[in-house]
Amino acid sequence: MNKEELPKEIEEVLTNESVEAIETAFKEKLELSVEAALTQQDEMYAEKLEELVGNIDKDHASKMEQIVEAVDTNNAKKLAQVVTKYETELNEGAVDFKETLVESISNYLEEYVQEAIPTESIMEATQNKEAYNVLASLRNQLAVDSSLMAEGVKTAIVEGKNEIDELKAEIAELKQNNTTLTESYNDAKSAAFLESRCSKFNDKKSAYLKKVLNDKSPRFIEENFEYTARLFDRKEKEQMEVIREEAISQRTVKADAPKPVVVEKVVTESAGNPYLDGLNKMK
Amino acid sequence: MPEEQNQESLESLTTKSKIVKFIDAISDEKYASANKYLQSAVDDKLEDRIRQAAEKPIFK
Repeated sequence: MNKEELPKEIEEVLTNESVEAIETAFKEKLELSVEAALTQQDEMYAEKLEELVGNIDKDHASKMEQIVEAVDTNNAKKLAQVVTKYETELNEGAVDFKETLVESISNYLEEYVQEAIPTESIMEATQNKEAYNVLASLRNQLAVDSSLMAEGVKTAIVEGKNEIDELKAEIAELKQNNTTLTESYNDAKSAAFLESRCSKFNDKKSAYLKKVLNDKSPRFIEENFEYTARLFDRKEKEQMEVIREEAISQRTVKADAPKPVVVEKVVTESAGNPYLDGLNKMK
Repeated sequence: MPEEQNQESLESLTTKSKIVKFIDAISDEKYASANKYLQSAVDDKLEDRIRQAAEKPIFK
């Protein structure tokens, strides 16, 4: 500061050195005051910042805790799903896969065996073996060993077989003849039996019995003859009953007519009425 | 004795069971057992084919 800037009264009192000393002291005082104010402000700001940082920390901590809790819950849920899925796959999917795998391997083995040893070869080998066994069995049955497998033995066997075939045919023919003869004999026996039993009956009954029992065996005829005869008698009786009823219903004679006249008229009417003739025959 | 028991158990198994045991043995790296089960399964397949062929009559 210049001395000229001071009022005149002070300018006269103070020297330049004094002014400079005052100015220096004043500047020092000012710097100290500013420094103290700044320090105070710093302290205040530091406190506020600490408080702010503390609050922010608390807020962040609580938020972080929430986030951690949410992440934990989410992960636990996902892990539970993974466990469930894994167990399902293990219990069901693995079983299905195992069955499919077994089926595939089985099919592959099938194909491999088919390719390595064709079915035709197996068929041929099996048939060869079976034919060999059959031949060995036949040789045992026929007592033909290698020493007997000569041409003569073969011819004898063939001749024997032909003879057996011929005899079989002859037996079949004889059996057929026997059957025919037996049938003829049975028919004749039945006819003779019927004839002998029917001779004592009238023509109508005899014809009925022959018609019913003609194609039956003798034993059947013997067992059922009496029954058939009784059946015929019953039918005849029923027919006669019917005829008599019809004749009575159709007669023209009055029931309350005098007896002598009725007798005469009855005699007269019966001469021309076939139903009453039949009735008289029954009596 | 254990070999005889093993042989008996092999005979009593079905072909599919043998294949299952073959897979199990392969999984457990028991290759000797796996070979045994596989061989037995192949034998079964062959026997089936031979049985089918033998059932057909040679004289038709």
